[in-house]
Amino acid sequence: MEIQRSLKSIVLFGLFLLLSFFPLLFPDPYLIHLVILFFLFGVLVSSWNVLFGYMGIFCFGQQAFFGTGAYSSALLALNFGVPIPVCIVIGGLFAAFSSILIGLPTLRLRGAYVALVTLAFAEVMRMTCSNWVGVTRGQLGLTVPALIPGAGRVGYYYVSFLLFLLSVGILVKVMRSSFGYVAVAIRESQDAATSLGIDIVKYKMLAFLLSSFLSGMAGALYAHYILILTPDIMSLHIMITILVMGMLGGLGTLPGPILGAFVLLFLSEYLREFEQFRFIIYGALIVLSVLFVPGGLITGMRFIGAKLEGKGLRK
Amino acid sequence: MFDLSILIQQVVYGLVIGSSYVLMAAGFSLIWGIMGVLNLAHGEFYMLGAYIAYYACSLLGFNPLLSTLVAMVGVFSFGVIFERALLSPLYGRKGWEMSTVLITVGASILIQNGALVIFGEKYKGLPMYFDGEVEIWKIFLSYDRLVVFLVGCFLIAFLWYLMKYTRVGMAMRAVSQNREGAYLTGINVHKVFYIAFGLSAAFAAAGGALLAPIFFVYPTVGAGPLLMAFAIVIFGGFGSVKGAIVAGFMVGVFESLVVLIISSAWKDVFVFILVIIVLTLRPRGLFGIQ
Amino acid sequence: MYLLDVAGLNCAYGRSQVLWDISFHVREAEIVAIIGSNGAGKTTLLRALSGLLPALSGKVEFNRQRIERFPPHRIVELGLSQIPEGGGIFPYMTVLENLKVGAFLPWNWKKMSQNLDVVFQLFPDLAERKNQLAGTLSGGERQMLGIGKGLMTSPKLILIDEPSSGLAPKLVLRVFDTIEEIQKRNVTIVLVEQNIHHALNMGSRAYVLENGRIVLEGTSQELMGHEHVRKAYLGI
Repeated sequence: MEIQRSLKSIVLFGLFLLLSFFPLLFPDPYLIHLVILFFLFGVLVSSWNVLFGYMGIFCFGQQAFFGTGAYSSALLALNFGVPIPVCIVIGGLFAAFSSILIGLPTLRLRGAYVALVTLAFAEVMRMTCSNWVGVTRGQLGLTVPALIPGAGRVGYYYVSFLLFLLSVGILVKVMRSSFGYVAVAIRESQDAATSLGIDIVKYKMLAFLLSSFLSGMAGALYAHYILILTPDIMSLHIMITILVMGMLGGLGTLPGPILGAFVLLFLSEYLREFEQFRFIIYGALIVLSVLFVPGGLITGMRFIGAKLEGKGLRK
Repeated sequence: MFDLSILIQQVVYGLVIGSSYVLMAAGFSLIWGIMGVLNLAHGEFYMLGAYIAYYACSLLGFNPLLSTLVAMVGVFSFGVIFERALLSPLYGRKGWEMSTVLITVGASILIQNGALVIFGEKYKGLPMYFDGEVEIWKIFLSYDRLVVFLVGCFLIAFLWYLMKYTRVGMAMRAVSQNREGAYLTGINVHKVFYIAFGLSAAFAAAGGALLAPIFFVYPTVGAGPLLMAFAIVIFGGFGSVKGAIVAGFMVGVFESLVVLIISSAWKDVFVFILVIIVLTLRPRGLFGIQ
Repeated sequence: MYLLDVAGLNCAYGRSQVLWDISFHVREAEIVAIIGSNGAGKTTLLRALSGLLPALSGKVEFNRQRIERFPPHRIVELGLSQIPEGGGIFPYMTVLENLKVGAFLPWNWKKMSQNLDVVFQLFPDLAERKNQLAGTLSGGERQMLGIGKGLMTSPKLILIDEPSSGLAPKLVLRVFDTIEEIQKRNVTIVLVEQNIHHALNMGSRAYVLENGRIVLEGTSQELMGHEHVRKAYLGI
């Protein structure tokens, strides 16, 4: 137990050091770009995990939060000249607001119905962005002002690293608190939780707000980094990617989604040649994962870790 | 000031499309009522039906009825395999609801993109099955659309008869109303599951096959009908086939009118808004049991 | 020769074991009662016997066949039926349809009109309400329907889960009279009950189930006089 804990701390510290100095050690701009994507997707999948993995809410509309954050931040910067860091935060707030719209109808629904409602809602938002050409320029795309004009990747690296650390920090704090327990209780049995006096509606809304806020900021940062914004940012492909990352890494755990984001990003790099098969592989991964490895990689790693300690699997 | 006949024309179109929507929705509702599973790959059965009809017609020269039949038989078998391979391993598990949703999502992605690779992303157009149109009281209806409507209604009636008067249908109703009670009368519930699933897939395929000449055939063609099926089932009440039938035609007409009055780009948005309203005011839907 | 022979049966829900080392037997044409208070494991035992709950270990032998790994529909095919608590009826089907479902198995389907006659004879009330939706029946009528539906499966042995639960005393008498009638037609009965009086009046023999274990067995008379039984269940 002791060994495992100190080992864990050493590994985490090592990773932190590595990531802090990464751009200096590996100045390849493409590599840095990948890690930036890793940070942003890490935030996206981790925040989605609060809803899906921890609380058991079948949210299939996370891409709407990502996109709403992106669009509101971009439009604010373009049309009103608000300083970009502020835009990003407001983007997160807009995303949080949209989560109220999406979340509200689902509060009284059970399980899988929520999946399709959130999915449909996100699709509708995407279609709205696509059709509302006057505001969003639709498929032509918005040109987004850069967060750090003229700078190379390195600046964006540290900003997204900061967002990543902040998000992970917030999530760790929140999920380790009583909120985390309530979330799992709701996932296990909404009825039991209610009978214990838990206000499910309140907690669901809080989860939606937190999750969407973080995802929204990630989306906004993404927009001000990539500099082009189209409605594709809210496409189902994003949701699928989130899903595969979460499932691969392990839902309902803190490191799971991050591990999944990492593995998938670098996996998709190797599979570049098979680009057209990419989503076939994603689909197959999900199916196989559900059938054979429902806990994701994290569960596998914990299992091995426990075995190494000579113990049985601890719960 | 609208010409009334245009309005009625749209309503008729709505009924035609509605008949296919009903096929999609009834299957979806059936699976929910009997198995408690929300099949997010349902749209893919529609898509497969459309492709089978396309190839049956263009390569083999089958007439539309035969194409539809072939599509139904083919996708029925596929549906049975799907249920046995992907769903039945999950039934006993804790958290099976989440697992079944996830696996159907994964399967949907797999099948859609598989189709993309195999058939290509180009929209395939099937030429009209029949040429010409019929005129009834100033309303023009192409023969194709007439066939869609008639065959659709026939299949709906067939489903109704199946559920109400045959032994298989009785077994399905029993399982959906009291699963344990059904086990205890000697009904092989697992068999009911895969037969019901196959049926639901076959009906979705029929929808796809019938509408193939009217809309294009492409790998993601099932996404729209899936959302429609879901909207209809919410509207009509989960688990109620009767609800799916009534709501299916209503949604078909509603969508058609939205296309006429506003524009086709916004039709999904409006159907969705309708669903949200229904969910808020009467979560059980029109005829919902659960 | 035992019609039903259970030995060393262990069952669990997930990781919590509920039944421990259950052993009992039933002879043909007997009425055997299993007595236990709430939570003792009565329903779990019946579910295990009918194949609705897999057994961890032990043997269940029916008509000289080992059935503990059989799927539920096979067990009904062999002639072991259950009337679960509440009747196991289908609320959105009519009374007649409910009975028809009972005759689902192919050879029962052929005997349907015969069996229907028997059931309607036993339960004239049900005959009156043939086309009424089962969900609209009263508690007692539902119980009758449940028993009728069970009879449609042409069983050799019926497991009945708390037939008197929630019923007014007059109805309870009727239910038990009916059960006796059924036994006269050569159907073996295993009755699971909370109410000791009912159980011991009906059955010739009984077992007492407590916390998932069989703690006592004997004839009705023996148990009536047993000190533990009197204290724990009769409040004497």
